[in-house]
Amino acid sequence: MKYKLYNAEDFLFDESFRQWVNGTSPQATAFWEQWLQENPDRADVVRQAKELAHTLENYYQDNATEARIDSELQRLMHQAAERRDETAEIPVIPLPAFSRWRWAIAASVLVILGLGIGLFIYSSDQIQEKSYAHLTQTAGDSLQEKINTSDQAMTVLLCDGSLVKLQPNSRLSYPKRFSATSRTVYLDGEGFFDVTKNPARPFLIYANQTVTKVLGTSFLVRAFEKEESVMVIVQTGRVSVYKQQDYERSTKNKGQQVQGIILTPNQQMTYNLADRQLMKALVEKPRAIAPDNVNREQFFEDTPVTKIFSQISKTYGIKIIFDEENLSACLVNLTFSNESMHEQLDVICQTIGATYEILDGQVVIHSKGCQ
Amino acid sequence: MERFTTAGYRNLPPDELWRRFKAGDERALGELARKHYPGLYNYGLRLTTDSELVWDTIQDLFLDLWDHRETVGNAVFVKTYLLKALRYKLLKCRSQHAPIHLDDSEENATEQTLSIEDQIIDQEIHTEQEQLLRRLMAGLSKRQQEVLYLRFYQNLDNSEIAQIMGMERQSVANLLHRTFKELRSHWSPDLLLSLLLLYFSKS
Repeated sequence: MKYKLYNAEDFLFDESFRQWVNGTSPQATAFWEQWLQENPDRADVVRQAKELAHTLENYYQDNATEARIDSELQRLMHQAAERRDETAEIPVIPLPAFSRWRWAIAASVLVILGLGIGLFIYSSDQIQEKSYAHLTQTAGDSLQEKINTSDQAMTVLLCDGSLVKLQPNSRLSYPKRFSATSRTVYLDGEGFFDVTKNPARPFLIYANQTVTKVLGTSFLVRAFEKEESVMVIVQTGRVSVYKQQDYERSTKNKGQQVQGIILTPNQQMTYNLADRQLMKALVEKPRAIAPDNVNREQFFEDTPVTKIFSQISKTYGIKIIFDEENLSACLVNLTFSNESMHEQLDVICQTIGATYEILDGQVVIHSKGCQ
Repeated sequence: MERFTTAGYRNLPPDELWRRFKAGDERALGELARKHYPGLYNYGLRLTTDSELVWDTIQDLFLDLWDHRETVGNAVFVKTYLLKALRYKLLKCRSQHAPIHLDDSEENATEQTLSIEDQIIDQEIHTEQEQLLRRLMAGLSKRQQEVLYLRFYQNLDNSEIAQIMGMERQSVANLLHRTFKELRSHWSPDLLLSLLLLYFSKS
């Protein structure tokens, strides 16, 4: 052990030794007390070092108090906020006439935190009134606008601490201060939202005939004019999606159950403007919601496939439907390293002579069982 | 005055905090600053005895960092950068205004909270040791004092110290080695003596 050869000043510069002297780390204290017992011959050197460290600490002591540092930090944050607001003021640029714009909708939501979200789609006959230009012009608050004309994503900070990663050719309008009851922003284009949690003030994104309502989470909204469908993609957490007329009917007649669909991780919803149908499916490449389980070799030895299925299900947050009784006799030997979910399912199904299909955003296993 | 709270920012992973800082979130700046404030203030006191000047200079430092948040590079080097910038600013002040000296006495060091260990040790011996250290420090050059401080108190490695003080890494190593040789030649025998005294006084 290296410490056996240490002299006093070597100890002095050792982080854990100093933590022991300062009493700032219980682990360090435990370690050094133990070490001293095991190395009684070093006791003198350690004592010297400890003394010297103590004396130096005292020598370098200052008169800063927590309260003083806190008030300095308050002062700093105020000045920083003022400076930012001075420089960040962007004049609102007049928007092109909106009546000629054909607005098509595509919105996808990637929810990263496990919070309930309602997403309401408003498809209106009066499309003009739902356009970005109209909404931002008639919004009561004075809005600031960010337009990303560069070829890189731009990060926009909102006053509640929420962050928006605004993609090229996209624009976002938002009030300098949000109202007390809700946080409303307007988007044209694509933005990744990282919304701070505040259930008392829901966050509303008006993105071309759709309104996405969140209480605090991260998600992606896409609303470019070329796309003619709304898409909602959930990474983790839950999202409820409603057809606008269903949702509005339920808000009018309070208590009436609203018909909608709930999306769980790695599921996506497509809302086609033409046939007004909500379609649920799995995303093309499911992503692990428990990152600990990926990029790690996994070995299965004589493991029941049912156990592997439930692990995959947990990793990707996707429901896998199978006949428990039927598959309980299926034991497999497998090694996974960085296969995708579909690759893993392929391997398992080939091994036990089964097939699978994706139905309604879930995986269904078909098998005759194992002997 | 509205109060900023950074409570939710304490547990943010460093890269997330940095991302927010870069995006212009003043609470992220506050949280970054919170980590560095005590160390910077302490270092400032090595360079001037005017504590209010140190507080103000640290504010300037972070506001500079804030103004350049979009171009500053990596969070990893922030500590070194801040220490270096503080040193530069304070030394510039010193050359502009009259006498600010590296404090080689801690006359107004405030009352220290005594650990149990401290209390066990005979108060007289304790102060003797502090006096001894003070004498030893006074015998060191300002560079030696600063190198020792940055190595011990700020826990920096030689190349970081070299960067802050604008020296070669090897020069820092040499200076530190020399400083310790000097310190040890004075310290160890006296320390042993005081330890012996402690033994006798206890038994």
